[in-house]
Amino acid sequence: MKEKIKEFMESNFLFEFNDEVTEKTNLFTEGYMDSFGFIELITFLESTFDVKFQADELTGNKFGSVEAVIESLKSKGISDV
Amino acid sequence: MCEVLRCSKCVLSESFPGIKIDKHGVCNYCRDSLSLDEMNTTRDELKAKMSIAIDTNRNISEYDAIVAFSGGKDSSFTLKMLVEKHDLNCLAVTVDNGFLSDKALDNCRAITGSLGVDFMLFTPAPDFMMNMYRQSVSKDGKKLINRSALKRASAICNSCINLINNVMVKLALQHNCRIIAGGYIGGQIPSGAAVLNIDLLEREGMKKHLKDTYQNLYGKKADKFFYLRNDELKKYNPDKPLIVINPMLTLAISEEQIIDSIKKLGWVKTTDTGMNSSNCKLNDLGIALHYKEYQFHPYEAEIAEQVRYGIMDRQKALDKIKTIPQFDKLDWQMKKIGILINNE
Ligand SMILES: [Zn+2]
Repeated sequence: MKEKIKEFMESNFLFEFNDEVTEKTNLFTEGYMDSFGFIELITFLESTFDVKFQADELTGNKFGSVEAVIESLKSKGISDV
Repeated sequence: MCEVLRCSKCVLSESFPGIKIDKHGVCNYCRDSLSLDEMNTTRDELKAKMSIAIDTNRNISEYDAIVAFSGGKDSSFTLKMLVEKHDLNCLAVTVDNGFLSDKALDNCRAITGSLGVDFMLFTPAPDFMMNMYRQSVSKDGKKLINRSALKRASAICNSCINLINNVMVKLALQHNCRIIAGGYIGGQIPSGAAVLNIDLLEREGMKKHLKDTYQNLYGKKADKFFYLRNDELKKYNPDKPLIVINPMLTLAISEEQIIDSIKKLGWVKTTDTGMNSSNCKLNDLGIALHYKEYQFHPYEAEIAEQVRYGIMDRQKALDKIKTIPQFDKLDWQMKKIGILINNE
């Protein structure tokens, strides 16, 4: 599932994970994802993992990196990532 | 030129980022997108959400909304909607980027005149703008443009959009106005962006690390055009975020219907802005450069969405995205911003 998330990010945000851009990289502050890209990411996560995030769950940079996304999914009870 | 493979449903090409076309010829964007019924429900929900946001944030100061108004068809229609349907007291603001078509400026005056809306024309210093465009397609300049935004628009367009957004935010703060409206249409940005809360402190924080790059490439004026000053931020109350609305994302409306509607207000089609813009004479160069680098038309995403939901017919869509402007017809634009392209 982690690979699926990374694949989504790579193909939708036009970059590749490597030594410089890693699972820890904040894609927001490093300029790979903008607020519209963020909406696309949330839509993808909601449909792929069958979850629904509330507005207050989307604040505070909880989806900036692959690691953060996986933590957020875990907090929703999805741990098979 | 050999024929590129395209989704049989929506016209996206095989070069589009993240695309996977299945054995039935249908792409993953089509497979993952909402059905027509679901889309209609979403639009209705967004409409309701937008109306609530408008009602909560109106009647606070002399203007209810600052409207990013290019004089093009979509922002003209947006302004009409805000005034006639939502009864908002708007300030329509046009940024003259140095490539604003004369006819588009006539349209700005005609539309705001017919609707009885205050109109402001802001012309940033041309030397700044031309340098900005030149840098936007340079190697370093690309660091300033979000990768995910390049799926939706060219680098040239994106640099301009970032500047215009900042101008609108500044005006909203100056006028103590909480609504900023734009004319994005379906497919240009996700439909969830019909109503967005913008936390300005967060927004500034996210751009902080780019400040040096901005200054190196764009000079001192970069601060003014891409950031907020501390005294401006002081006017902002984080408990009352700005809201950005894009009313057209709540509608299913064709290009023809839009034009019919604004014609009645005196809007006239421009002839010098290419196939995809109704106000900017630089747009075609942005498309040509984008296509050269990424091999897909920067309007593909929005046009594909319109085809997917039956708002544009497939043939018209194909005509639009298969027509890539040629560099040899874009000589004066390249000279004006100071770039050279080797024409293979
Ligand atoms: Zn498709």
